[in-house]
Amino acid sequence: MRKDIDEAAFIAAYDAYAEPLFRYCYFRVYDRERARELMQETFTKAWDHLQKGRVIENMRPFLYAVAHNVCVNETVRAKAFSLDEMNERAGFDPEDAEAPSPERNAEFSLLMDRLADMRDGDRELLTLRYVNGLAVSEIAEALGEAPNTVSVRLRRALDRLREKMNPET
Amino acid sequence: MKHPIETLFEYANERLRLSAEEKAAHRTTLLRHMRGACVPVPSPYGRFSLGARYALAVLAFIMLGAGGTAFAAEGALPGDLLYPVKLGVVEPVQLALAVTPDAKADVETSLVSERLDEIAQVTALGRGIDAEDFAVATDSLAAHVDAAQSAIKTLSMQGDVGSALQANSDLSATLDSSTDILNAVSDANPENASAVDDVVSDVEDALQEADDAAPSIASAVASSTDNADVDRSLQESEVSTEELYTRLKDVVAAPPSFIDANDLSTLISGLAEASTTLASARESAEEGASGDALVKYEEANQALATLEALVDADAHLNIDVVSVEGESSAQEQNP
Repeated sequence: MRKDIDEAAFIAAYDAYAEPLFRYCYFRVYDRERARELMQETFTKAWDHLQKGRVIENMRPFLYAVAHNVCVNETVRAKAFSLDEMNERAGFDPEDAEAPSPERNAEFSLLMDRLADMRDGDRELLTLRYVNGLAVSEIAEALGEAPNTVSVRLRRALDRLREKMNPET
Repeated sequence: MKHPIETLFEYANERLRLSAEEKAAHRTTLLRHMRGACVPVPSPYGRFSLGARYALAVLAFIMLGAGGTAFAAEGALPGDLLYPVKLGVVEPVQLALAVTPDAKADVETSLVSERLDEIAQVTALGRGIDAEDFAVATDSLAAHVDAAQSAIKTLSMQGDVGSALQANSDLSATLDSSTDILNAVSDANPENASAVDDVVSDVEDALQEADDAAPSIASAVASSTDNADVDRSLQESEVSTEELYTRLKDVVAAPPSFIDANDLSTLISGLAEASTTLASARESAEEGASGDALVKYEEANQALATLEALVDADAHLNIDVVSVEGESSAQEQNP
């Protein structure tokens, strides 16, 4: 079913998806400022697309499909992260009272580091599933792949990440 | 050691966030793109008959022929040779092109601002002001204040209450900042004080009138059944207010050399107040209370526009206006 998207509806979509799309873009480039630019570009391109009268079945996968295309030529800006660099790049506040323990921060830094080292496709799938919370069917729609294929690729990507995080196991 | 990967991803979700300001700034940019990309902008000439278009074309030809003169006249001050060209040729063309009451209110308010700025500039220059030249400027000021208020009333009567609220807020901000600016230049140039004080008195009367009109316009906005008008005004107000807020935050984040510690303190407290009103406006907008949100956005817009005008005056007139405003506010709070 086609949904007509007017200005108010699109701004409502921005309000709902700006944050998760920013996170998606962040995990594609590991650069906060660039991620903001890419998130902005995603919405402007999506709006332009809608203005051409294209039919949109489901806004969320559509926006991730646009973000995927916007980020496709981007590369991870750095492959190694210290905790401080990670805080600085992501804009985390090290003085934040709600921040988890230094150990958890260190683990998170390790995750970021290992993710950055993964193949772009694996990192994208893991981001879409675990950071953005998309269902496998939505990931499949966004990436233009069959749900079964996504499911298999996702499981393999998670296995590879676990291996990188726990090389001894 | 095992790593709970899913939990770590959840941690990323919690910590990797856009600030409210970043989100608002991107939203503003997006709205600007959306309107630029899809809203057809009607030609201002489209409303004229063929005869009127021809007359405008002839006028444009004359203006282009005298382009250099007209361009030079734009910056003329009372007493300058080209000042009559500015008032008699350049500005009437601007007004002729403003065909809707909304556009008319905008142009009239910008001309009020222009006159007040000229009066502040000639006073700040410290040069003697010829009474006749000064009267030309003050007469024009009074005429444009009347015309702006008349255009606002027309908007209200036509039921375009959202636009009326915005126009009244713009006029109030212009008049409010000007009283502080004119008082400051008058204090710094006592030889022109009596002439300027008369202008301040007139401006204060006009400001009172605009302030008196504000509650009834706000009430009309709250009870308006023209959702399209209110929603359109809300979107415009939201964009311009968020932009204003961001610009002033940038000034505070990297203060230019003319902003001293007192100015900074005034700006910070002004921004904090506006921030509270803005938060409330955003909340109302999210709840779908468009009328309420518009009134709050305009309240914040007026306060921020006044602050920005003071910062501009501080920069261009080389007179400390910003912290003077802060002191007067403090005195009002602690009489």
